[in-house]
Amino acid sequence: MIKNNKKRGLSPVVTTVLLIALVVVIIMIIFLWFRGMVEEGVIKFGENIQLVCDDVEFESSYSNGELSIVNTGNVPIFNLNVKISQGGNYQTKEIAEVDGGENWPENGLNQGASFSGNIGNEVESADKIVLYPILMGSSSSGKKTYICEGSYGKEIKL
Amino acid sequence: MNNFLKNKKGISIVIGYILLISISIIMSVLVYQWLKTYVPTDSIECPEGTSIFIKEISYNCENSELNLIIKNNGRFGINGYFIKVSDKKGSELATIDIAKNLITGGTASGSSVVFSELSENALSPTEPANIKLAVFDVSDYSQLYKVEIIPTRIQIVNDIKRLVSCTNAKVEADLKCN
Repeated sequence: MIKNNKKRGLSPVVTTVLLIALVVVIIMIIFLWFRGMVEEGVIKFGENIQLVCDDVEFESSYSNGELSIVNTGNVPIFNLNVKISQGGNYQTKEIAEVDGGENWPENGLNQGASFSGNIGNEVESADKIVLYPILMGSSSSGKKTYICEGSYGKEIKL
Repeated sequence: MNNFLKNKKGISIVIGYILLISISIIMSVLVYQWLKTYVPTDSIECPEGTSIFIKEISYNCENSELNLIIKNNGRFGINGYFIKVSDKKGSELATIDIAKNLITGGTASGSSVVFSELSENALSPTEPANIKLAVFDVSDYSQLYKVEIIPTRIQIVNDIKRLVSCTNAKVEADLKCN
């Protein structure tokens, strides 16, 4: 009986350390799991890049195979996604990958800059093309691009 | 005295409060920093009332010179402009940048023409300093059909001076040989 009374269990210091270590590990696991679920925030001009999409302004025209684009707004357009629709099918390409879009500026279209390229061969059988601007922002993991999709696209009927 | 030293309950409560408050503050700061980026700010644009018009155009096809007289008919100073021309008849959009071909009437700065490098928004709206002649060499191009001008202003945005394109004040004109 006397022997049994000496079993006091873990010391308070060890339990506190264990408790803290457990909490830290659980917080780390939850954080890593949650970070995978939440999209990484990309910032441009001090605000989320999704909001900057509202400020993008550009004019475009298509005539005789020639696609012309002028950045008339105050947000540099780093790249463009071209969605080429034909019947019920479509394919999306970056403008530099489109036949005729090779001379897209490497650093994108800054304020007031323009682009012109003959993409007639690529879109000759298409019904319409939609241009989606791609912006460059910064995130915790460095520079990152963001595609302004949906209503930010500019449709050109061919 | 001995009892006072043995009683450590007070200290642990204070530490508990300090931890609780500091964790709350750290979490609030983190959440604030994250949510702040989702708050929309005012979009960058020129003030309403910014306006220019092309008072006179003289397009000399033989000399390949394009002369423009630009007038600030708005209520705010203008720093410069983006100028584009089109060499295709009936084209909707002018895409050829001729800022680099400026002979007189300011300084070419990137793809824009700046009225003065010494002062911002130099083309004031008050007469007689609201008119500026610009001459461009357009010998690199064949016949030109259209010119488009978008004025620009220097504005302070988030405590930083920025060049702002005044898209709403864009002007365009057809070109014909003299």
